[in-house]
Amino acid sequence: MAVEVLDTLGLKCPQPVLKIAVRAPDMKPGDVLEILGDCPTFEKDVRIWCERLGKLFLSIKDEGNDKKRIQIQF
Amino acid sequence: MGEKIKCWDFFECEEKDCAVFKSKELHCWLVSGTHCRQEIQGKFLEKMEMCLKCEVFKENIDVASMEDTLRVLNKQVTEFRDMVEERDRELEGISMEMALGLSEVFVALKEISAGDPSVRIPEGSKLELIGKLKNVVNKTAEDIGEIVDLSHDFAIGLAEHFDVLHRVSEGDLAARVYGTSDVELLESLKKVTNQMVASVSREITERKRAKENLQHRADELRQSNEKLEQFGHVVSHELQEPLRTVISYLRMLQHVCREDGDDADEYIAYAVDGANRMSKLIDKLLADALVSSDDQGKEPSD
Repeated sequence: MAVEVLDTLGLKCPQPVLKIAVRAPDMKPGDVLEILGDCPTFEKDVRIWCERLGKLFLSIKDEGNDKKRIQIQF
Repeated sequence: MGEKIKCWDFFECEEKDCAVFKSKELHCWLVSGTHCRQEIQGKFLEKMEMCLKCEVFKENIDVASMEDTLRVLNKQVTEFRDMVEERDRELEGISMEMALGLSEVFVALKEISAGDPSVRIPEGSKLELIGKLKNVVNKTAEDIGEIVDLSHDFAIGLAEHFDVLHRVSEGDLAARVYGTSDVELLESLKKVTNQMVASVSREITERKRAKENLQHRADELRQSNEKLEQFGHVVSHELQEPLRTVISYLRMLQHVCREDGDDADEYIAYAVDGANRMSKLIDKLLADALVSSDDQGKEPSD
């Protein structure tokens, strides 16, 4: 099980979701993708994406200055 | 100081609507609404600069009128000061209202520019301009919000389509787009994508079935060939053995008949010839059976 990091800091929504979608085919079942983002709707968008595509929203960590770190599992 | 004069007389004025026209008033500068210089003038305080240079003022001013003038001037200055203070308070209120309104607008615009179009500000304001500005900001945020929501819908929809197509390319023919959207184009795209995947899935299933059928037929044909080959082997071997016996005894019989000078020799020769031809035919049958056996190892062609 690999853990990969995707940095979307500075990108406005919905660009982070599009970045995740592009990265998704490279992920194997069980792999974890850690995404960094600071867009106001970042968490909401990632949650919707996970729900729609059947991925697991593992955790979210608020790192201040609107910066959030989200882990999702494939 | 000379004799007091009347302004309308001194200037031969024809301004009949003037407040002092043809009147006995000698302190015209203290009268509001005179028509000096063909213009309606205001209070003394407002026309004082002009009056101080006027010949009538210079001729008519004296101690008594000076007192009156100063009293009027004092009253007018007080009124003017009150008015200025009132204006000042009014302007202060407007400035504060404008500063507060602009601050709200600034904060809202900052949040919108940071990517949060859900922000709204109360539109009420004592200043119509600020109220309208807030209304414009709210409407702009609303419009941007709609565009952002639309772009989110497109992004999520696009991501799901991408995921489904990727899964199909990996062999998951059960993958389908399920997400719903208010965007008509995305709904149409979902329908087309799912139809396409279903069509591809059907095509692949049919091809698999056809391939299986073909393989089944090839297996049957191979088994049939094997049986035929075995049959050929059996037939050729089984037939050759008694035929050789027949040929051997015919030759022996031919030899005996030849020594006896019997005519039967000729007939036996025909029989031997026939038996030999039959033997060659059986050999050929055996050879053909062997050739077909060698070909069985090859893949059946399309």
